Amino acid sequence: MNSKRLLLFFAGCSLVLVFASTNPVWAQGTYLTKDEFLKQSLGTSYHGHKLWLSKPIMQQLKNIFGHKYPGLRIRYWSNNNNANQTAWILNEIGKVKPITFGVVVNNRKIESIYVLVFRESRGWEIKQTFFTDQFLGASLNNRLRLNQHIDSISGATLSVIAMKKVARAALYLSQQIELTDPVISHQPGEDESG
Amino acid sequence: MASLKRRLRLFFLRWHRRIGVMLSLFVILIALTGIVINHANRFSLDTIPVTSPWVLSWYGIAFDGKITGFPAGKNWISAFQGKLYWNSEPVSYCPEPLIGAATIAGIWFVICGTSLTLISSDGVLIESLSDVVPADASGISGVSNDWLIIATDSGQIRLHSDTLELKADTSQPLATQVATPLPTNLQAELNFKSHSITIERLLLDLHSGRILQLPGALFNDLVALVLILLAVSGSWLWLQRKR
Repeated sequence: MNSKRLLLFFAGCSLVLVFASTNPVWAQGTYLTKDEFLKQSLGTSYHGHKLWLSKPIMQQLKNIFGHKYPGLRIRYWSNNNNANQTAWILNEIGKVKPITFGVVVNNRKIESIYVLVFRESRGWEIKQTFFTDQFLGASLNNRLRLNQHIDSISGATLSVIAMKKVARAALYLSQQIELTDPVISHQPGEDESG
Repeated sequence: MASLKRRLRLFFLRWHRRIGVMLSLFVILIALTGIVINHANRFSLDTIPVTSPWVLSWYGIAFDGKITGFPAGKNWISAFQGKLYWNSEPVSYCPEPLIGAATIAGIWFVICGTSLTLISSDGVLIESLSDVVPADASGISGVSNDWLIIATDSGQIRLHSDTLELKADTSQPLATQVATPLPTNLQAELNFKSHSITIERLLLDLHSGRILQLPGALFNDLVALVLILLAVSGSWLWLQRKR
């Protein structure tokens, strides 16, 4: 009887190990749509803008990401009731696939950061609030680094690095903007967002 | 004894010539490929891809000519293995099906699943936006001023090229674009991104006989052994003649 229980225990452990070692496909997917992120972060009244990436901005983004940021312009959204509050949707590769992040910056500090779309097979833990809360209130120092220490997550190192880079990029970009190019207004009651 | 030696010499002479003629083609092939392989790096043959579908099929690489895309003037926009290509250059990601591509004011608007990618007329990525197009979009029907007309399962809609505003389109339904197969050489180039078979690799495999897998390699071994025998028989015949 005891040997049967022992066998059952080992079989259970093996199953857990096999399950843990396989790629968690369920971790991939859209956690938050663009509209959900914007409504949640900026309320119901916001404008969309386009920031064209000049050469100096491109260079600084390259310094932050460690590679050329793909694209010539980036869209961002600002709160109609608080011009200092901006939302950014940026992509960065974790290991092999891009992760889409949503970052809200208010007065040059991170107000919130989310994983919108996760396409990698590992590292999804970065979406958890116990991790993202570490970014709240963070700003950039003179060396374009976060002024707060972010504890990593074992097994999600590359995703953590990607999120830190995106947070730095959003803070840097928020310092470069001039709110002169509204793309589309989003007023309460409208369906379109911008 | 002298007669036996003479008969043996004649036998060797006859077969030396026959085998020599039979192997001459292979010797020329091995020699020529050997010379070229020696200078493969100098002529960048180690980086030039093999583009012939027939040759690639020898390597077991499926080349069914089914990579499709949309013509963009003289260029092509296509999606292959999760990436969006401008001709053979990857410009962005496209993990979902490529739905369509249309140009407004010199900018190409490419729809991949629910995402929209903007590419300049010279193939430079402007921006890539996710969650722009409804998930049931099935194709681009056309362009009307600054609006993209998109066919969806629930009817035709319009997407503003600048503001990304979406609204229902009440105009007459239009025929949607259909993706067409890319030119053969472009398909081969895209396939090369996944197989990495170069001219040098082809030459090495021709030289060693591995192009025909194990039978080819064994045949080349046989040719090599026979060449050794020819060298021995040739030397023996030469020595006999000298005496």
